[in-house]
Amino acid sequence: MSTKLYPLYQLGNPRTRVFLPDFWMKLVASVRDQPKHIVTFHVHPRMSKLDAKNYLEKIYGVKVANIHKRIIAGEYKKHPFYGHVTERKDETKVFFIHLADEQTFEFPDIFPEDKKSSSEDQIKQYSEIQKQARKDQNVQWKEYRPGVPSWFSL
Amino acid sequence: MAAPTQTMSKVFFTNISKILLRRDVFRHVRVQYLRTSERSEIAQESEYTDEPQYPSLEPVLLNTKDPAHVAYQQKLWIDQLRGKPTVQDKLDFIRWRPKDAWREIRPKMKDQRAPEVWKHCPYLFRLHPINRVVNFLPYQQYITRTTLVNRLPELYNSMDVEPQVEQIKTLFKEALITEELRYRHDARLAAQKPGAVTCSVLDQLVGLVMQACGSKHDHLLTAKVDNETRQEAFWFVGGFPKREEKGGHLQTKYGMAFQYKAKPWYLIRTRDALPQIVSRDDTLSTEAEVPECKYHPVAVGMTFYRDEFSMVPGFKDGDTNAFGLVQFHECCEQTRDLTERFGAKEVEKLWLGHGIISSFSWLLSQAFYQGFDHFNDITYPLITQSVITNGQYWQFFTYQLNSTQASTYGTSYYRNICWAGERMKLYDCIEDDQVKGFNDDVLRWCLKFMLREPLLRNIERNPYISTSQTGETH
Repeated sequence: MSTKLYPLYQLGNPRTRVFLPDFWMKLVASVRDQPKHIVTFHVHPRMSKLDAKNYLEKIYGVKVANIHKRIIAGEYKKHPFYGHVTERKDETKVFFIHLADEQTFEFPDIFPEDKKSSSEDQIKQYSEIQKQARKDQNVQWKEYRPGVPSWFSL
Repeated sequence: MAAPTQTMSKVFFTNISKILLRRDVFRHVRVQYLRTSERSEIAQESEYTDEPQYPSLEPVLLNTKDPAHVAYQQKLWIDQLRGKPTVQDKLDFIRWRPKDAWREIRPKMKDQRAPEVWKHCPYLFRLHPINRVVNFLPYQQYITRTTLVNRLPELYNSMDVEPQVEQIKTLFKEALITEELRYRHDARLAAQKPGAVTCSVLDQLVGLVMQACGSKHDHLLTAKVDNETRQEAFWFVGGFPKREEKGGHLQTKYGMAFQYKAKPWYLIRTRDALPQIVSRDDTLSTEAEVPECKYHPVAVGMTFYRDEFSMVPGFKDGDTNAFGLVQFHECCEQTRDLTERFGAKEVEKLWLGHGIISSFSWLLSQAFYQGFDHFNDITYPLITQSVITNGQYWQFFTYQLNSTQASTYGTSYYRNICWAGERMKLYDCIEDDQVKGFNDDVLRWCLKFMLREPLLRNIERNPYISTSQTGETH
């Protein structure tokens, strides 16, 4: 556990609490093409390899053979005129987990093409309706208030 | 006034486009005219010859990204590399920096710790004999372009080594017991190195074989035996997919660079090369399967560093014994805790990978010291034999290097071949001053490997090295 402090007094002094660990692991799609037995995770920056291994093996029952790690530097924001660094974003810790016993994992396709196309069609329809509405408005304006600027309205 | 300017510009551009078109047609040809004095000399000497002599054709530098032009430049570079007289010159040519400059920088860098010096060095991916990577065997096969055959070649069956086995067997057993007990009773000795027992057992084995058979076999009489020498090689692999996001691809201009470094316990070298096991036109060396793993080495789990390339086959340039017969590797330290982490199945695969990588890189460095390189292919196949031991377990490999070009540009279609025997147990245990469950086959294979005679003598060994520099021709 990352924190050892006892939690502060809260209003009403609730006795029954569930203490969840501060650690978290986020399963992500890898940037590079990689073999199927390797899985990528973004993890809490204070988490060690051993923590990750124990977390996967004891809670989820996934056997881990090896882990390699990479820390990606956060972006620097520079001053537009003077050029010095004004702000730097947080680093991200990435664990590449090698599964044991010839296990494989493929990251699921979260945005498949069928759903994508349907949503794009909806957007197109909506934009067409909007265009039509604008046209209608213009036509009405020309008919009933010819030669009057657009801001002139009640 | 507007109309005439338009017409003028039209005329101008049409003419220009015509000229450009003509230039485009003859883009790849530039005729080198001779000066008048030269022309007259030629005319005086010989106006007509039997074979017409034309000046060389060169593509003109109009479009540098034209694939034909790039190929032509590469060909020029490779010809230039082939023309280099010595091995050191070739190495310096591939490292795109003069060596003296590096010498000047190196001591400074150590004192001042200036990291900006390293930006001139190439990115290298380090290959150990055993990399701690899961499921690494297909990747090792891909980057060396080897096919794996799960048995040793049949040519060893005809060899008869029974008398030698009986001669050595009892002595070897005694040596095993003494070495084991020596290290068991002296904890300080054993703590020096994890694989110390197996190393001293290998000492005893090689010594016994050389004593027993050295006088009868000429190749062993003249052989050189090296203990714990450097064995280093580098090569390039191309064709990895590039990442779309920004960030380094970590590539040199020849491709992804791999650097192997190891220190095997014994290298035995002979004057002549071993004869080929399979011809290069055989289906095994042309059409056999090689797994395709086009993954970036970072994605697989390898680490990179920056340094110069190094190519060391265990001897210096100009050595008389330049061909490897057998190499003995000890892998106690590297595989100590691997069975717990990876499992027994994975460790067996890692042993196979050990055999492939170590023998490929040793042969590659040998070929380099004969004047061949990654771009100018070898003219005859090179063969070596390797033994990997854990003390208790032994595994035997033979390897045939069909081409050094195999892993660079894919121009050559040859595959390298690795024959791997089964992993054998030498003994069950050593108790009460006795070896229990001793296996003769291990000794038999060791003798077969060491007594195999190299017979390749009537060949041009180093066609790309000038003989005046090395001073040795056989």
